[in-house]
Amino acid sequence: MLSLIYFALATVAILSACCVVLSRNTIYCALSLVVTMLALAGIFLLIQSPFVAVIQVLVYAGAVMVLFLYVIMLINPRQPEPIIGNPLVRRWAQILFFTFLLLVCGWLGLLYSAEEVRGPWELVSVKTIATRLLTDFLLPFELTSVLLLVAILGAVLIARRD
Amino acid sequence: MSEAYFGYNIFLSVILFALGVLGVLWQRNALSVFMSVELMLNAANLALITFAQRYGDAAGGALVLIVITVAAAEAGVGLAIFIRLYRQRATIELDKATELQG
Amino acid sequence: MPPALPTIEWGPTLPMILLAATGVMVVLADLVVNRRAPLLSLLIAILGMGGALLAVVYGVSEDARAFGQFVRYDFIGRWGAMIALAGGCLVALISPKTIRDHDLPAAEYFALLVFGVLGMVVLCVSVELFTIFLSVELIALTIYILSGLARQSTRSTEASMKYFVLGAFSGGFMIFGFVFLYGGAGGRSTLGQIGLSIMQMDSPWEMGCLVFGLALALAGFAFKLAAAPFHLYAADVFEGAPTPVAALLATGSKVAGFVALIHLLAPLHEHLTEAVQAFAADAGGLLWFLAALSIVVGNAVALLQRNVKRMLAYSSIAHSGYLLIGAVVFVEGSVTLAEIETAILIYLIAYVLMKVVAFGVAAGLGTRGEGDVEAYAGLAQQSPWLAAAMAVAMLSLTGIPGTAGFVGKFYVFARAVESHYVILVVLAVLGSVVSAYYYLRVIVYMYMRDPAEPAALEPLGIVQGLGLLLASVPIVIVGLFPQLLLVLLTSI
Repeated sequence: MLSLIYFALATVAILSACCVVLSRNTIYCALSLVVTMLALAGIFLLIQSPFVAVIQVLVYAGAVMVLFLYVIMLINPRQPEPIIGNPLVRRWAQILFFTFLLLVCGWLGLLYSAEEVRGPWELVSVKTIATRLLTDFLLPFELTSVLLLVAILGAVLIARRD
Repeated sequence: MSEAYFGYNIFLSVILFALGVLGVLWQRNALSVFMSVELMLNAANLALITFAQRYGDAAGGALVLIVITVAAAEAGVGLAIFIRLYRQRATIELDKATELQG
Repeated sequence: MPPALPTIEWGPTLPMILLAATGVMVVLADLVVNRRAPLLSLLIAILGMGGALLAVVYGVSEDARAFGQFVRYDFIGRWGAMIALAGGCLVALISPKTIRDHDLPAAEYFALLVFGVLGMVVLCVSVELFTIFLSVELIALTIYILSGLARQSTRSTEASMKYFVLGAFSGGFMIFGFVFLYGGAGGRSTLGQIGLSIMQMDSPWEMGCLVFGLALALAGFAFKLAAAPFHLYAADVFEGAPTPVAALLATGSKVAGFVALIHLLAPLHEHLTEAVQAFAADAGGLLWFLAALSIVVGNAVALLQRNVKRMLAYSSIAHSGYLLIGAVVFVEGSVTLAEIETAILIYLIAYVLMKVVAFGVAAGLGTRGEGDVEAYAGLAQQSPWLAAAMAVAMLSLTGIPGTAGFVGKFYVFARAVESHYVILVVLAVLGSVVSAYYYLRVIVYMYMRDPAEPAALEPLGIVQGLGLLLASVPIVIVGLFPQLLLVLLTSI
């Protein structure tokens, strides 16, 4: 049962990655990337890394991709024509696709709750990660703070209007 | 149980990485190119956490955190550069950036 | 039971702390001081980098370790850090004119410079995969920002964007390769542990991961070092970015990247097992190819360049090739570690000095310096000192005996011949002969043509002049007395 979820997630990841690569519409590209990240987050959950899954959703899909979308809206608002020309057909396609997505998510959710995902959660608990970050990986941790400072400085410097 | 998915995960991450590389080479819009790079980084994250789980290294999450942070910092600066390029030239198609002859 | 706090070895950590603090101080000082005072930022930056340099020389003992197994000041690492710091100071010294000309934000410029040098120092001394990745990205990030700082110039923004896209791409290769090295070594990320794994390779799966990881990581490094065929961005970035930034990219970034490459390849130096032998042979072959291609492509395309900065960019590519010869010899293993590292360090020192002078003169000439070779016509009549400095740099880059460039090439090529890489050395020498054309062409224009614009040059600032002096005099001294450099390397 679990492997079914796994293969579903893997397929979604690959398909949406293909959309990222091939799409001419930047917004579709960004949204497909979000779907890929969410699928990967699901896989992270399956291999018992809940912390990483949550970080992936919150930080990567939730903050970085939102930033991408802001910038896309800012500089690329006009997008190429959608694939389906006829607006009525397009509306029905959207409704059907959305319903299909809802059903798939619901089914995945049911599968997740049915299976008891046991596992050594303690192995990759937040406490362990934090300990490693502040003891063994202290240098990379501090370097990351410099990196972020430089990024803030740079982003402001480059993008500001005078 | 995670050992069962080890091989598949690595395979998946290589596929995603390859797709990302393809995207960088194929896409014309600079934003899409950068998003393909993000795809490559995601593939690296997947491989990283899979290896960490396989070999029982508890630092896996910390390492993924580092990679995500680097990706975020890069995104911040990169998007600022794209915004500036757009303001100067009203386009971010890569083949239009030809003032410096390649 | 709370986890044990890590013990911090202050000696090895001090240079990094100093640099980080300096960067912050530069920005803060600019906030506090009311009027624009670019020289203040320059002063703080140089004091900080100089202090860090002293900290490395006097505060760090030979082979000091810090942060567990993550930092190691071995011979090449310690000297690499020193070269990067000195290079950073020199680049800072040649910056003021460009800052004035292009109206760059001085405090942020110097702060970013210092943070970039911090990245270079950490890159030189780190022996753990993810620290290496982080410092590479830190350096790259500061250069992305610095190249795009000239607000009015569209070429600057374009250069920044090109470097960004290709830099992010190669960063992706590098981290993917590192992840597979980490995995192939069984979840261990320290280079020492990876070396052990290479020696004890048990399963073909592990070996596959390690080979794949190393190949991708090498591809990422080859990009950072502007080695062909990963060199495509270099000329555009050098041309579009402000000249001192190009200098930083050409010198510090390359030094640190090369030292990191040597660290990464270190397990392949001693061929203790069959597996390592095979691995080293593969890596050596790859490096051979990269070196040869860089020498050929760099020199060939440089011939066609009229723009001085583009010419210097392709010259950097060729020099990466010469340096990679050192890497090939390193992996081959018949030369002792100390000897090959000494040779590489000598080359790096010479290289940094030559490039700083070349870019420094270009920066000192302002917009004229960023143009074609014809713009340098008659420089000898208008400013004999600038022309002399440039002439020294050009001669040294060619490798004329009597200059530091010759000494560097001599040592590296000698080691290569010892390891029987005759073809490669012949190629390199041919490349140097060919390069004489485009280097000496600059000298011809400076000394034997009349100036196109008879207008007098702006007098060179004291700071710029000091920077050029500090960089050009050692080129001649080392060229005439190479033993001095050898003594220096072994004594400090």
